[in-house]
Amino acid sequence: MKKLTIDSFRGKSVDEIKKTIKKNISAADPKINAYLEAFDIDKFEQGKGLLANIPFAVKDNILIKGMISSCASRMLADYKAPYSAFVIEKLLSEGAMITGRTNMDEFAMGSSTENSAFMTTKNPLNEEYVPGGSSGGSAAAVASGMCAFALGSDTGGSVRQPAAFCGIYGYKPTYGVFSRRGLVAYCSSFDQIGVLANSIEDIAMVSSVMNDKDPYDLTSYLDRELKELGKIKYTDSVFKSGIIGVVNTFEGIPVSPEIEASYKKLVGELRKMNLEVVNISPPFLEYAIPLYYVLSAAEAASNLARFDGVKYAFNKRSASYQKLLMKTRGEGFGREVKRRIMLGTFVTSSGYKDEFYKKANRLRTNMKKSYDALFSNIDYMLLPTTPTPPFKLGEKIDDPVAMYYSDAFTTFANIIGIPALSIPYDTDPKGLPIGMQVLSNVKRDVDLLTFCANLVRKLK
Amino acid sequence: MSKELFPVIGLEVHLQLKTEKKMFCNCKNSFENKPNINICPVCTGQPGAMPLMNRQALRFAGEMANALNCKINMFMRFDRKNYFYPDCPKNYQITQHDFPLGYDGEFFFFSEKRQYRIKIQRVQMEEDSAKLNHIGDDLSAGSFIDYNRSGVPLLEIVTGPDFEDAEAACAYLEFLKRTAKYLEISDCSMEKGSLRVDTNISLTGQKGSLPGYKVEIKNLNSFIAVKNAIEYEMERQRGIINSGNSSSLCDETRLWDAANKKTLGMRKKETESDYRYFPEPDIPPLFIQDKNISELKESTKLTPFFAMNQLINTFKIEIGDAYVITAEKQFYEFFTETSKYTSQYKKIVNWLTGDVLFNLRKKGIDLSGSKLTPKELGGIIERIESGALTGKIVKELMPELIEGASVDKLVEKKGIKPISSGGELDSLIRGILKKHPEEVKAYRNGKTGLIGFFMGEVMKGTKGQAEPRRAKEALLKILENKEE
Ligand SMILES: [Zn+2]
Repeated sequence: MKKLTIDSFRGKSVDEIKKTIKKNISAADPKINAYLEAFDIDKFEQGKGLLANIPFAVKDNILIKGMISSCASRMLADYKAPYSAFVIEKLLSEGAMITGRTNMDEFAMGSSTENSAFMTTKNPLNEEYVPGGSSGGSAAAVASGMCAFALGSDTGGSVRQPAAFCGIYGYKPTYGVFSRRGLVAYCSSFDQIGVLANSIEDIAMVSSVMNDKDPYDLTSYLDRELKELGKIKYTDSVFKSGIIGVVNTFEGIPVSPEIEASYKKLVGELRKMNLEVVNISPPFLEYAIPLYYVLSAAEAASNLARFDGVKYAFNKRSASYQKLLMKTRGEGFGREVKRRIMLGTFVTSSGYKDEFYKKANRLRTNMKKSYDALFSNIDYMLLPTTPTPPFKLGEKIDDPVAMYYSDAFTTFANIIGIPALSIPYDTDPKGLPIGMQVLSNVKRDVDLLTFCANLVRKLK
Repeated sequence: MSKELFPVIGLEVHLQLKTEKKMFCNCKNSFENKPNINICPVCTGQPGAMPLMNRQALRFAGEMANALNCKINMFMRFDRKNYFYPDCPKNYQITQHDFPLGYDGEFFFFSEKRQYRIKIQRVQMEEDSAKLNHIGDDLSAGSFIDYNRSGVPLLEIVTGPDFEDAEAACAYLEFLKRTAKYLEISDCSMEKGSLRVDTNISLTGQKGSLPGYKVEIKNLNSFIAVKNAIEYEMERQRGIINSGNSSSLCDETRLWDAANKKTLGMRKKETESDYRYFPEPDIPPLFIQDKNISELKESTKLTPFFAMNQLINTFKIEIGDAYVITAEKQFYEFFTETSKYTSQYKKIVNWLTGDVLFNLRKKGIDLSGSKLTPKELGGIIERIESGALTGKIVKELMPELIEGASVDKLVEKKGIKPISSGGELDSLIRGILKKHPEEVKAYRNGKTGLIGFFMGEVMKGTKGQAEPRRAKEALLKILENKEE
């Protein structure tokens, strides 16, 4: 299987690129099911700009004007987007070509892409295994040469975890680097669009195109350094000034022996390279999962309230508004989505709000402070991306809590808004990929990308 | 025996702000034309749409909060109020729950009789809902939804439960409306729904203590409805309490039935609605700067309260007249402008509220359509005072004066001249007295009540062109001097 980078398309004609993509999709996708819909790219006309003719796939919760945007839900199965997401506009303005919309866990809720209402995506490296989730379709498409890069969304690890499971790079920037306008909201204060690709250079390139202050997203901002980042600088000086925090034990979080062994191997390599490595214990890490599920469910219940059958998309015509609501939502949403809506409604209800929602929010504030303090002593933090290597299809689907723990190392980055990059580092004894995650403090995205690119080159 | 009961009344007012754009999107703030033309992904609740922040709405809200003497939250946040209703496109409303723009205010206001003061609990910003247009009276036939109104900026103003009667509540509403109109932030039309009022009423046996129940009245479409509903509801509750059934009073929402002049039970609130408020994650908190607040405080925008005080204290106008003059900002401004040309302040009030207003109404225009300048009116009043003109002449000329004609030119053109020279008036009076020797004799023998008769004759004889006060003086002089 050939992994495609942006550079591998440079100098090729648009027709050649189309031919490659169509060939790869028809060869791989019938087995993998990465795309909910592969677009008719023959309609694409010669692109102009920094990403001219570069093929990319889009997670199905990011709107593309005139195309269906289903969030892999029955609820939006026929919903045609009335406008394009800000990041889509940015990429199209630089000439990039959309290959299609990719499968995902319904409304981005899940860690295996098995919660899609339409189909199951397989891990391209071993079809018995999940590709991770919720951006599993995007990760599988990148890993199997069906596009050069893909957009995903990362609310608790949904870009990094599938990237790790599919052996590619996955980047979740600082909260606000990419406008969320046109990203169907799951948990607005955690959601970030992310990039999945086969190289850090590609991630940097795409990110510099997509970053901007969007006047229509009050939480977005322009990162001037990122915007002007052309090529990544390769220099040993990044190692001289970078202190890396590593952990000795994963207290409170069950980690599989393969992951632990790989992690220790990487820490050993760093030390051998004479990098400045210090031991840390990431504060409140063991609380990240419960906190994440309280706060994300609370916001999800509210964000998904708009799907009522009144205005657009799926509806079950009924004699009363109450019946319309219950039938539409009862049939339109899948099991996991309903579970989180109920959970979110519960934790914000009077009588329980103090005990759950408010307590979680206080903890979130404390976490932010603690990590800010921690990052005054270190520049980067190294953690595994996932506590286990890829698991089998069906293995965890009936055990939601086990599934939730797939994100044990990723959610805290969303909780405190810091950037993180998952790097394909190793393989387990079965040959399945293992990813490692590097994180840094907020708004240090360019440092993070530069450091990781240099590190990857050194490790080779 | 019935004990004394004290009403506890609070008002919640929603004002639509007349900003150019909606609260959280760039759609035009206009919803009187065709349905669903001023809409976008934000105000129709499309997936992925995010709210903007309307700075003009913020400023308008700040000005109102300032006029209500509220404290301004330096840390201001928006919250989501979660509830399902077909007119609410996101099924949550963006509002301000924990940190409203203004709080702890104190509003000073007037009626035509007295000054009042009321506590303002909060002034909060939020978005309006879409409009449901039901097909027929029966809801089951379905409804059309017009999203033009969805997302229009609203200001909610909540008073303390401190009104003691319907009169005070209505005076508050009238003055609040004037204040918003002076600040030019809202049309304040109850008819069009840009001003909406909900009333909370209960009765307490002990002044100052809140009873254990609260009745909310909705569907109040005019100030008269507010007054009638409060009075009806007070009587209804009094009846229940006096008949020993006070335990049957509970928190409920009642509807005002204007046709039958009574409130109707709508729903009992057994449990408080749980709106599951939480901070709106799509709008970062706003940190209001000291300089923004001092800018607000130093705002020189005129308020009706300031205008009333000016009229009463500086111009010594009676409260009732001041209340009429301040009904509209342009009236008050016309008054103060005119006061630069004459110090006969009471006369300005009389002319403005009398003949000027009368003639404007007759023509169906307001003061801004009048061409009568304050300078002209001031000059006219001065000349009446000096006897160079009479009120009667000015009255007759007023229709032309509001068209912009100059009084001097009119007088000259029409050949109207007040009889003002002493000699002319005196000989006229003497002529009249000669015609009525019997009455003159009777007057001089003490029947002084006849003065009215003589005045009538004099005015008739002069065709109203004599200034009455001067005419009377001259008449008295001649009668008392026993001149023949
Ligand atoms: Zn709009």
